[in-house]
Amino acid sequence: MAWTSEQILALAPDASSAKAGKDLAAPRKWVSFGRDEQCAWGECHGSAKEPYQTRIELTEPAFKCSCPSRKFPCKHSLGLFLLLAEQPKLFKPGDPPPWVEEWFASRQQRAEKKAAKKEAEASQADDPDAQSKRAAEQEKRAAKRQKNVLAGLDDLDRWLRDCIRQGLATLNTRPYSFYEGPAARLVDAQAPGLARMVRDLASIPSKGEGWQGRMMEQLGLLHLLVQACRRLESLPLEVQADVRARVGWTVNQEDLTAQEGLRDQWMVLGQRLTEEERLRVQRTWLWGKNTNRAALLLSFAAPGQALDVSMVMGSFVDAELVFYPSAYPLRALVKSRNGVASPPEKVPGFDGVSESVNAYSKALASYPWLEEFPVFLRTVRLERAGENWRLRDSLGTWMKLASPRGEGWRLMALSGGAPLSIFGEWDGERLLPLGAQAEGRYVRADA
Amino acid sequence: MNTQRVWEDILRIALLGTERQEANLPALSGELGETLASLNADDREGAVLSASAAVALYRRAGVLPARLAKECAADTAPRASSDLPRIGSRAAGHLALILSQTSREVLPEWLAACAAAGKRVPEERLPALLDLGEDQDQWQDAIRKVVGLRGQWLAKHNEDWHWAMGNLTVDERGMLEVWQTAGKFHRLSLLVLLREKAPDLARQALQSTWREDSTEDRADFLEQFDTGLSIRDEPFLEECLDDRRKEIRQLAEDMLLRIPESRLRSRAIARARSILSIKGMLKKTLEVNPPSACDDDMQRDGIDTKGAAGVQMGEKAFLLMQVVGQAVPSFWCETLKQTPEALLKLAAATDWEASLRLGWQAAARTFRNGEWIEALMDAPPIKEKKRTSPIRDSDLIGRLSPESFERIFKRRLKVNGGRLTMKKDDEGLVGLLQEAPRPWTIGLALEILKTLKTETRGEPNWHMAMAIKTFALALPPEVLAEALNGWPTDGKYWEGWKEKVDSFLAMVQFRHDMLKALKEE
Repeated sequence: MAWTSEQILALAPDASSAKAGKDLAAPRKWVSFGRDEQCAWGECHGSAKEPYQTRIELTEPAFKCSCPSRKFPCKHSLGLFLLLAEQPKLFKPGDPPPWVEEWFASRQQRAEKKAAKKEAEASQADDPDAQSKRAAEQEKRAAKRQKNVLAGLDDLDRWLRDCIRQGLATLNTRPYSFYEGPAARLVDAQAPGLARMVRDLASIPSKGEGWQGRMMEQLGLLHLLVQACRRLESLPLEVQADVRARVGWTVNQEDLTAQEGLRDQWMVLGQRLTEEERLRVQRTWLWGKNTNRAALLLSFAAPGQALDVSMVMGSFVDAELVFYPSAYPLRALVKSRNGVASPPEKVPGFDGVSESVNAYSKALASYPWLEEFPVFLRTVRLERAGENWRLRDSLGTWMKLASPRGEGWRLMALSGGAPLSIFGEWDGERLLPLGAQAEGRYVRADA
Repeated sequence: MNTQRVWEDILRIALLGTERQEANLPALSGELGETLASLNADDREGAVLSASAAVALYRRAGVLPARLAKECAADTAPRASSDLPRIGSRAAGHLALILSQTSREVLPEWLAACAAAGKRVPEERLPALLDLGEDQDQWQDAIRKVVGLRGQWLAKHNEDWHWAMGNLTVDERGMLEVWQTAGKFHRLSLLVLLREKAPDLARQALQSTWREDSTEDRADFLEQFDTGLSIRDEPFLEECLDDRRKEIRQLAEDMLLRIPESRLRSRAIARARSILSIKGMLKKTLEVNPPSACDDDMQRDGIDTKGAAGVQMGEKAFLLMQVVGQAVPSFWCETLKQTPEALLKLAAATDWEASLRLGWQAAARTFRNGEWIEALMDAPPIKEKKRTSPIRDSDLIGRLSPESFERIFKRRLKVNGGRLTMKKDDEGLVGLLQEAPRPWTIGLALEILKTLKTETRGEPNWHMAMAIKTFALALPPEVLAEALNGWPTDGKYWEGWKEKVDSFLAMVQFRHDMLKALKEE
């Protein structure tokens, strides 16, 4: 695929790297550059005596630079990549120098080794002795974790009951440690998902009027999760999967990709970046043109690492997705991509507010711990009611629109007063808009 | 009992705590009621938590959206096809980058180039730009030109943005009505637009509220009259000469002097007529005959004697300065048959040099006379020591054309041995160059680049190192190719300069790219 400057800048681990990369995207900074089918490379003047050697594998993309920076990708990699996107003529096709050749060869070796290891494992799988031994080990580990989690659940259950016994009225006077204590114990009990839910409680009392109701609702849902987890075996398989995911068990992605997926032309509708425990989490929402259903892709990046930027907002991607098992499957993995598809005449989505809200009710009935529900509303009008915004469909039915960062005005500018299509996350009260389509353009709603 | 009441009951129990009360869950019919009834009441806390989960979910899933019966009147913007063309994606990328940075020093240039290309910004950037204009009113004019019809439409819906509504149909009655009720900033922007299209109507509007407006507002409004100024403004401006506020009187005086046919202008020349004369044939001298007193008419025209002590001048010298300051400077060249340079030289040999110089300087500024400004800037410093109000270049530079500036600066550079700075802490010509009209002329830019490439061979100069950032905003991007090469990278002091020069070049490159994108896409 051809990379755009915008996508490349989005690879930057932080704003200062983006700026530094942009400044390095100037030919005079470079001693040499070149490219072939798979790679681009260049030598950059830096503060060291010898120029830094920067190389990029273009499909993934992957980066390697001889500079000492711990950021990834480093500014030299970004600069070279930007230069390639903006002034491709500078890069004369040719044979890679040895330092590129070596890197490329070692990457291939590593890929081969990985494949070989996988093969060895697969062949081991044929060996009944090794197989049973491994299975036994796995079982032992799983049993140990199960025991840990159950102990954690007992602890959480006691804490929840204490809250109710003493009453919620004084929770707003509790220090942060009131929540952090049980959350930390849940982390030790290998239930990170529960820990996160408990931590999230801490901010509820500071979020204004009605916090008692919201707190009660969350405590109830936590209790529900404890109960469900204790009798996991008796639940339908999909619900088991949901409970396990909520508590913090992860699903093996390799097992998932081995399954058959759902192929469609997926429209990239929204992207949102959040931070969880120093990890940057990027949520990307897709919507299938033919299946008319949503999918959520998550990408995680440690500080200094790049997020996946291969999904461009507003584009259609022909891809096969595998959904994580759930009673209301939303989260998915890309199994394979078959390039970019052309936009259809009619965009997918819901026709009206009622249809969206009905779909939300259905989802909630299957998956009670649902937080953000994807809603793509075709042709709604944006209205201002006092200081608030709302969306109104052709029948006059309306929903509230959240505008924490000026999204309302941005959408208003886009709409020009005419109906438009809006995608966002619905939390049961407000729609947080992430993108909108107007006059044939799809645009981010935030920033 | 409905679910709202049930929820409230549960919440009440939870708020107070189960250790202080029984947990009697309310009864309810239907499936939800059955669920609640099936909970083990002996396990108080468990029952409250379970009931809360069930009722909360039941309510959440059961919310029906509200419906409005009344159809709102649709207020739609003009179609995109009738609007200015939207800038391309590369230009939009540049704008996004400028807006995302804390320092927006290139924004004015970008806005001007966008307006010159006859394009508008993408819809999604409108709120950010309009907010910026609300914050920084010096940018409002530039922003107004790039928001297009869509931006004007949007501005109508937000009171903070009314200054950008623009698009006036010059309907006299409608306009006067709006004027009467609009707030100050809306009126200011109306006035700016009107002075361009229908200056007489603008004046009528202002006159209609003149008595009620505060003096401060009046001055702000009157300042806009520079646009569209004509003899038809004279009666109103003459009235303003009698205003109680000095600020208003001075504005009116300044503008009247700039109207070629104005009576004030003839009165000023009549007063100046007998003041200077040339004597001698071979060795010419300038004879100065300063005005002896300040009569009532002069006072009405803004000349006074009160300020003399403040600038440590004699009364006569002070009067002379003001009379010279009001006379259109080309008058002297015509009547005395001398160039400005010659007159300045002759003035230096009289006892009245300071008065004449300061007067001519004021006149050159008021009448925006490039020839005189150039001559004044080139003239050697005044000999007289007592003078307290110094003649600063910066008072004049703002009125110079880029070409005049280039001529003056090159002359000064030559005098300075072709160098901007001489040693480490020498400011040299750096300060003057920073005030140059932007962008520099190509000729000036090439000269400065040559100088910079020589001087970066030497020890880093503090003034220059600071100023090089602002040079990057003034260099015309056409000379990018010349800017990129030929730096003394092998120089002894290059390490000290490298970073400064790099960011200088990065900025020039960015400006080059952003202007190119606006032109090409």
